[in-house]
Amino acid sequence: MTEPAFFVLTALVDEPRHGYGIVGEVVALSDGRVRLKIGTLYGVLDRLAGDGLVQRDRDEVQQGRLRRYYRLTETGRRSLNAEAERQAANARAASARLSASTLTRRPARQGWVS
Amino acid sequence: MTRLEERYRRVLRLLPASYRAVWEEDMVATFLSSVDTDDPEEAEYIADFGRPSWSEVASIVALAVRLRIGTAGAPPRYAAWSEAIRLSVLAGMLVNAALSAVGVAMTLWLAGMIPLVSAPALAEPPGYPDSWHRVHLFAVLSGLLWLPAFLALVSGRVAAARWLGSAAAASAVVSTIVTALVTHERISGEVCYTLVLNTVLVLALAAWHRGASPVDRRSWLAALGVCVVLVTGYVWLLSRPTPPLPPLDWAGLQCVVVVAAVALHLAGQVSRRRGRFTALKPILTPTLAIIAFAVLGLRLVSLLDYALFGSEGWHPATVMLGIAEAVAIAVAATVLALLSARSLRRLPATAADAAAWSTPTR
Repeated sequence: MTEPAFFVLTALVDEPRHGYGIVGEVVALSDGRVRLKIGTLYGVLDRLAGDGLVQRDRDEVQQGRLRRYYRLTETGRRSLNAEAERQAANARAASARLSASTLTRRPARQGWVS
Repeated sequence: MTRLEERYRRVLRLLPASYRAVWEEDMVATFLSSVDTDDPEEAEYIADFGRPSWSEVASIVALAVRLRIGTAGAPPRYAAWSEAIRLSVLAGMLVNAALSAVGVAMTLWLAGMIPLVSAPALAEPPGYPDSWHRVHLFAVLSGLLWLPAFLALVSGRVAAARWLGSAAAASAVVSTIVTALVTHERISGEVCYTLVLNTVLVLALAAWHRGASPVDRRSWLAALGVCVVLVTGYVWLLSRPTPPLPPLDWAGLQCVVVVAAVALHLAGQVSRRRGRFTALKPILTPTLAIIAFAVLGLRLVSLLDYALFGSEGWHPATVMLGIAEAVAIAVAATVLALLSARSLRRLPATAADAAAWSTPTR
């Protein structure tokens, strides 16, 4: 799962959102690191809708503009959960290895200096 | 509708009509929300004079490209177009693979390393430094990467083909630049065109998506054999010690082969309409059109090289024949393009809903 797809699914966990709402939520979730362009967002939404991970929730018209809301499906929730667990496991493995390395690391030339 | 919205909708026209039918209104609404501001004066100014940022346009361009060449489940028109691109890429990789294999064999032959076949008495390129041999060896060996790239592609290992093709294309650029530096010779337009074409080949490997139809491995391996024999025969003709060289240069050979293939294909199409021959695939028309335009480019660039740098060493008839070849391949390419446009236009290009356009998550 790509990073934008991961964040889009995460943005839809708590409530259905419209396109611009997803963009804003992804910025917040990623601490401003991921700013989805419209082409990227709808490429991702298209794929996720095709895979049955998100679906259209409702249409609203606000200030003369269409607002289409999307929501996470059960399959999408399971898929996101599996991906989150996979990433968490990866992060734990890396952290454990880094911690072990910090504990055992010695200055490179220690013991050689007279 | 504000002028900003008009401009954005114009950018969205890059997307296939069927995709726009599903997503356009939502995309426009999201875009306009993203440029909203609380200041009414600024909002008015943006509505009149604002333009979508380059990064927004780039994201739409990327989506348009991906939908047209890289999407499984695309409507028949784009699926056919995508298939034609894949077949053209296979043909390009095939030629590169055959050339690299023959290149290695030639190098071994010229070095007298092939037993029982004596090396030709060719003169060393005059004034070339010793380092040229090392550069030449690097060029030949790295060029050989096209062979496993092609074999990986026909075996369905697209990722490996991408890596190997990228390495081959990159090493060709490096060896061309280093050769020019070592020999102090200018890089011909034909070589530059080939390098660009190599890059396009590698980029076009994006057309292999998960839903792409499998490659007919046996046919393409047989085609590789035929191509190697053809190139070997041509190279042998060129390496004969008795001048003059045949009046057919490399671009000319490709023109002749492609024009012959086009003629056979068109004759086959006519027979097919009469019900005599039904095995021909209609997808060959756009495929041959793409190949014909690529070869036309090569022919024109090589003629330009002759005009700029002369055609010394070639047969006196090469240039005149080259012009005739350019006309023939241009006619063939135009006819094929018109036929392709007509046949592709007949295929449906609309989808009822988003799912028809959707690609599975990789």
